[in-house]
Amino acid sequence: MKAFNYESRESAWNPGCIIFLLRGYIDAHTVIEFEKAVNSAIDEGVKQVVLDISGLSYISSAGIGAMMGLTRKLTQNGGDLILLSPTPKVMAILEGLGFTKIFKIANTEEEAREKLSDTSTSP
Amino acid sequence: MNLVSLFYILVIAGLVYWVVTLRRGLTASEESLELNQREKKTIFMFLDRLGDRLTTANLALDPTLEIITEYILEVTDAESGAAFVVDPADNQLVAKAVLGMFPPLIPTTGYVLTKQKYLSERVKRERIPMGQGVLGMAALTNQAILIADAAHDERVPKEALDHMPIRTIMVAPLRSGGKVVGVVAVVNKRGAGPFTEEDLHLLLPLSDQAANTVALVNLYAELAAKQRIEQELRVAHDFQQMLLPKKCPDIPGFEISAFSMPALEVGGDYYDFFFVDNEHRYLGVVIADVSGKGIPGALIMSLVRSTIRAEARHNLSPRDVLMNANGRTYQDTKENVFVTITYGILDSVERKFRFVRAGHEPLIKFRADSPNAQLISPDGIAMGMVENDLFSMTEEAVVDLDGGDLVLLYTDGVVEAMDPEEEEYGQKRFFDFLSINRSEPPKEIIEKSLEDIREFTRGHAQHDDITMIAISVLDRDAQRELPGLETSIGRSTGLEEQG
Repeated sequence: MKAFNYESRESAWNPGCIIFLLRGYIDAHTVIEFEKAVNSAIDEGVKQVVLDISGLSYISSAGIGAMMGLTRKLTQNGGDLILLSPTPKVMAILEGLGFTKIFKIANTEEEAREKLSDTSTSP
Repeated sequence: MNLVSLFYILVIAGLVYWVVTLRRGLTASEESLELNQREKKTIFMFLDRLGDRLTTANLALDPTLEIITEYILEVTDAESGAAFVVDPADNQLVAKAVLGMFPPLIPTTGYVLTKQKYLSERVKRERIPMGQGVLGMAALTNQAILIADAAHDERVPKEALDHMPIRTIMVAPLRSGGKVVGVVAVVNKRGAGPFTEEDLHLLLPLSDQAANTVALVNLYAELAAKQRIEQELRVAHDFQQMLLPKKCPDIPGFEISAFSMPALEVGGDYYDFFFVDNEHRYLGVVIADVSGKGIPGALIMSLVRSTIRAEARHNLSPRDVLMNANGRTYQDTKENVFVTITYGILDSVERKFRFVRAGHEPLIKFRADSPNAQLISPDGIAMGMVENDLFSMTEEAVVDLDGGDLVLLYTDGVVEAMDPEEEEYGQKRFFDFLSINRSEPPKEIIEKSLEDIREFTRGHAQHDDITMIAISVLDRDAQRELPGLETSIGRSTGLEEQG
């Protein structure tokens, strides 16, 4: 069984922005835990989400679909989602799917912050 | 008479009366275009209706067939209609949905027509043996039947006419997985006119979708309440297998082979072949991977398949076809489901493959004289994720094909197959393997590469579907050994086999 776990913390610049550090595999099984974690944050009023995916060794199409679903949910409510530091492998998967044009991708937290403030109306 | 024969008759007549023929030819093609548009619209509206009203919670045969029959009545403007399925126990037709004043169409005696309700019950009670009456005949021969003037047709029982006027009838077989699973019939057109060839053209694609839906519902009905999720996956799996072509197409100058090996849980791959034009010069080739699994994944796959087939007819731009299909898929899929798909048109005369890659794995081409794989990966976004304003960045690529070339399409399950240490089979090993075996016939290439994957994975569970299409380009002078133009895939180009 491939493992997946995560940690979450408030970003240094905005307590309403949560950074999730994802580790391991997101596949058809572990995607449920991943979605639940982010959804419960959104339900508590979080509008900005950064997914640090530097520790993800694999993501299946179900995982990418889930990230897309979360992105839509957030943007519909005036929020946003950023993918932070994808590994070359995950980046290649996203590129192949053409999704680097859909997701906002950042390589540093600072860059993530900038990309979020591009769309954010409140500080 | 089908459109192809109509065309030839016009051409022959044209040798004598060329002016007249030119006009008629134009009219015929305009009509066929308009008909094509109507067919498309019909299928889409049907899928919409079905999508709205059909969920796994109420997936049962009778209500499903009622929805289908109701829609068929609307589209064909029929006064009454009924859907029958073959009972596997005794191979007889049994009515499952009866709408309007639908008469018993087999010879019976002594029934009295009263109210619609009694008539429906009567029709539902009858069991019709294969070959009996128009319904049994359509089921037995696997042919649609159009009776314009039912009152003077010997296939219509006279005693039925005594009780109610039967002016005109259409019957179409429900075909699924190469088998007749039932028939649909409509009786009497609203207004006075007879059913026409055009009405039949509208009925046939619907009966196709109806048959697929019936098959899905049947598979689903076989489930016990226990272990439903696990079994749902198996149903989805069986359904997907059913939608795959039964054999690869014969097309002069090319040898084509394809294979799909579904994983136990995460399903969603499919491939498809169909002729785009009536002359069989252009072959549509599809390989796709739906990200959803289980019944929803299978339904999306079925939807994508129908949509692509409907959009592809007479359209020589793969990009155009995928744009239209994306519009549909974007509306119909849930937000977290997407489809990676490569759709291309093989021009067997110009020997070119024009394709689009919506987020799918690259196309691999090998030339006979070089061991290096050429990866062709035009820009594209997976289908169902974004609206067409963004999806329109998807680009077409054209691959020139010469004798000895090999073109290979595959899904990610191939390169992501894992060994017990969870190392991936990977692109490098796959391409190296292909390079060595590139001059083998396509069937062998696929078989051997599956063997190579098996050897690599050493029994480690397959976690994703594995699908491949291999197309070898033959030398020009080898073409004469191949069979001529022939539809090898069921109803792909539509209607000619229906007569």
